[in-house]
Amino acid sequence: MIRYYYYHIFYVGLMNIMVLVPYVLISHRFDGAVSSFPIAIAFGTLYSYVTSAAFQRFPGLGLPEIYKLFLPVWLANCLNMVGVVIWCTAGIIVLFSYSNTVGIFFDPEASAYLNLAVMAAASLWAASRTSRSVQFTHEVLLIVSTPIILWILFKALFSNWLDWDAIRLIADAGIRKPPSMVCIFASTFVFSGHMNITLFNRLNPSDLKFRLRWTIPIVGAFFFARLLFRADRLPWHPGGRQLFVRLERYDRQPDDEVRLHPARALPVPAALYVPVARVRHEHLAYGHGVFQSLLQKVQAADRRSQRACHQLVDLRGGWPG
Amino acid sequence: MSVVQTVDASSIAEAVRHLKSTVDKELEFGHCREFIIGRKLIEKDGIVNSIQWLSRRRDIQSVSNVMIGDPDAYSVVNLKPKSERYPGNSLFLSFGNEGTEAANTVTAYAFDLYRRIYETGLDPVLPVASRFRDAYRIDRAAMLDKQKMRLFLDPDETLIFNMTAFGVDNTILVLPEKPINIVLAATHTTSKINLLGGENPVAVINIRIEGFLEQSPPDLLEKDWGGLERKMGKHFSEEAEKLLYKIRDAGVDPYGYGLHYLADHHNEKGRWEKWKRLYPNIRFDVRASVSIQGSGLIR
Repeated sequence: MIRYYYYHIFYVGLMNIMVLVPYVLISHRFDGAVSSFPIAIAFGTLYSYVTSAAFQRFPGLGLPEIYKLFLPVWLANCLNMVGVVIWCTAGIIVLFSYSNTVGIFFDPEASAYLNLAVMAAASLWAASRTSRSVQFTHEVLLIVSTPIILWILFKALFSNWLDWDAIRLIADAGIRKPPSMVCIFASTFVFSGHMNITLFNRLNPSDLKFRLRWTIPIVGAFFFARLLFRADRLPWHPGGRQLFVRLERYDRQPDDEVRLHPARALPVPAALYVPVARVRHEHLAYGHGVFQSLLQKVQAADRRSQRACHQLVDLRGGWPG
Repeated sequence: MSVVQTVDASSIAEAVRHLKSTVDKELEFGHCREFIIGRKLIEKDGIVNSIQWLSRRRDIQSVSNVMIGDPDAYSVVNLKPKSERYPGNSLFLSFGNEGTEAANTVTAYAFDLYRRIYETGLDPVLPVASRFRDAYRIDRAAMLDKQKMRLFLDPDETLIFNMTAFGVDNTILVLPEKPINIVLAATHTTSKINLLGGENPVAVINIRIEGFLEQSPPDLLEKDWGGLERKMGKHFSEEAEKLLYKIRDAGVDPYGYGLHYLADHHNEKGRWEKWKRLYPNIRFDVRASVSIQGSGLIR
């Protein structure tokens, strides 16, 4: 079952390294991006350790339930509202940037709002499913998408068109500059997958041990290495010109490397990433779940005992994740 | 069936918009993979504006082939080769290793071209396509600095450039000899560039060529196998060095020595200015190791 925890880490890493993070890191690649990688790896790993260790103490409880167990109702509700705002914002940002990216590469002539509406509807639908089905969807989508993503990635890595000089140049110039706060924040964002445990801990059985956490820094380093490899197909000097680095990267594979050509290689990775993105919209669902729990909380304001709380959790065993 | 339309405009973007009023179907570049830029356009306007348009449009593939049309793009586009079944297919098959594996054809993908235009210490190189009877002839290369055309290579030089810069396989190596030239069909080529020397840099190109003799006097290999290999290697090195000096003197750097130098000189201050000073005097050392696998099916 521990794999479900790592699915979060992996797909959130995959997504963040595609949409939001590269833009910041590439524009700062000569002032602190590369040197912030090791710091981000250390910090992200530490953060994942602490979070998972903390949640291991509360098997089967999400963050809202834990608040309710130990804090006064008003404080728990306030903190939950903060959670709603944070996760909703995160979900909305991802939704926006994905619908924008998909719009540009699939059909720029379609209405941007229509695009957004379709994706939002899909996200809302996904969000209204139970946490358990979201979890299984993660698994299915990752198993379907990841091998193809990795295949394309390794094709690129062993390609003759990979320019190691450019990669060396970026790595070398970047590592000598002191890291900047912006870059550290941006690169730790790659590790934010472990945060999903605040909700998905509800599904964890009581005997769950968070094994294999040493893989987190390796996965993170892998994502950053990808970012560096990307340097090769972009000119380093004027860089930061490309707005859709991740997707364009796939377009830059001569087709003797990637035999997807006749149908145009580009929509393929876009299509691969979008489902990965969609599950992210379970973030929106967090808001939904918390609102529901607030409602119930108002109705039963006096039932503050642990028993009631556990009942609530049981009731919502399959509550939207 | 193919139709060739032309329109006069001051830029490609405007031309494409205008062109739509002359065709009955929407222009969609998603499957368009061959872009021919006229030689005159490049001589007059440089290449940057055209590449800007190519890179900006999302529907144009970064793996498109870009080439120069000589004397102009129209004459190349207007050709309908007899061996062609779909419009444009012949050009499409000419590049990369898709149709023919022509040793004299340089392949310039749009992404690589974009990189070469903007990258410091790496200059663009483009294939030159022209008409030859009822077919295309793409056996020359044009070398550009960031703006202008600087050098045209003839087919033999293009072959050597292809081998040294890209390690292109399936080439030939000719050793002029009496009564008959010795020809090695090179099946496999690997090439690696190193920069040695600080103030007085030497670019060492290690190239390994494997193949079998396709043409030679009978029983030649039995006489002196190793000697022949060395002789062919030496001949190739001399030819390649001649070409490298010619490229250097034209002031272009399609091999990317500059980028290599920058990467080697870890973040040193003023290294690019220093390289610009050093490059006109750089020396070349081509170390070719030829390995003859055999003489084919007969001695």
